[in-house]
Amino acid sequence: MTGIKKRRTTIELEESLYKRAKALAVEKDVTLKEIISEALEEKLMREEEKKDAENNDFMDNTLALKIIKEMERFLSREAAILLFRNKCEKRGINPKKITEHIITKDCLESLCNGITYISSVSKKECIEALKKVKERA
Amino acid sequence: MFRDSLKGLDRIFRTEPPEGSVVMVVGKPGTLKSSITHAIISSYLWKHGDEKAMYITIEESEESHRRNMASIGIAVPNNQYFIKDIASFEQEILPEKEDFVPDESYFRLIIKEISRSLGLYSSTNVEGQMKIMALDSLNSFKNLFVMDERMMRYRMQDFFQRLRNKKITSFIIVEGDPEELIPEYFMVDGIIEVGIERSSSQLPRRYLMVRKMRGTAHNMAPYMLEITEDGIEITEPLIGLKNIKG
Repeated sequence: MTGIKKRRTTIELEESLYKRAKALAVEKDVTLKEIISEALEEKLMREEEKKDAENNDFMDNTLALKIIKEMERFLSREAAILLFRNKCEKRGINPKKITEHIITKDCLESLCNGITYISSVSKKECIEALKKVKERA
Repeated sequence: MFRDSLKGLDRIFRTEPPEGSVVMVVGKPGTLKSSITHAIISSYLWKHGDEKAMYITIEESEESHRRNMASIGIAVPNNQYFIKDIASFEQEILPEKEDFVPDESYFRLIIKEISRSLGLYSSTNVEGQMKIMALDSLNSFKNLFVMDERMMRYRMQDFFQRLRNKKITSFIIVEGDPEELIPEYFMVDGIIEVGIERSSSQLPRRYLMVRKMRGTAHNMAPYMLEITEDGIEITEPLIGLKNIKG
């Protein structure tokens, strides 16, 4: 296996910030590099989540959220969201307002068609999985 | 995987290419690139019932591939052989805007989905024994995205390396003139050329030639390729060719 590629960089920090970060590194018995990497990772993740939330305000809908979660068994979260949103748009459905009555068998089949273009799950297995989510809702 | 797949291929391969080799299959249209790849993979799968393969298609649908295979007598174990249509998948996730152009982010997303299906991200192979991948074709795959060519090569190189690390043997189909050097030739471990020899005195004859195969003892001569009742077969070497044209 090849290791993760790393890149060297130089950054300037305010004296007080540097001291606080250094103190935390000593306290946690890790390097300053690890503290900075972790902080940056957290910041990037928060920004991604914020962007996700802006683009996907339909995630407030519990059923939509549960369907996406189930789709994540077969696709990445990003692809699952794109597919779900597109399918809703193409059917003129507002994803924020979906209910178990709107998510018909036809809708589930259409989602699974999209999923099985790339995932090795069978269409039957996919439909069964999404149907269970709908039934539990 | 190779020597005992197509009848007569052991005349070209004296030893097996290492597991995880990235092999390019290159030739002009109509030279049986896809069919040869299907035939090698399906033959391997029949002998290894617990292993799986993924064939990624861009230009043709899954149904079209399965029809073509049936028409030349290639039977595949369906529960082991997955044909995945990523052009259709891309269409499913693209916004319905007329002027929308899929950029590098879509390239990364599609590679991520393929990698996920192949189990490249997990410490174990999640799909259970996914051993082979084929991409048909590299040309059309590149056409799915609008992005810097060098960046795409860099990312493809990285993808190939991850396939090697996971010991997934890969077939990368390229449509084009094998004589014309493309940068990707240097990124792969092996190159199989397929073409049609046209001489004035005889009917056109199909041939297969191994141009390079790292870590493998192989014959460099072009061999005739025929479609028989038993499928695709390698027969006689073509000697003294003057007009090899793919």
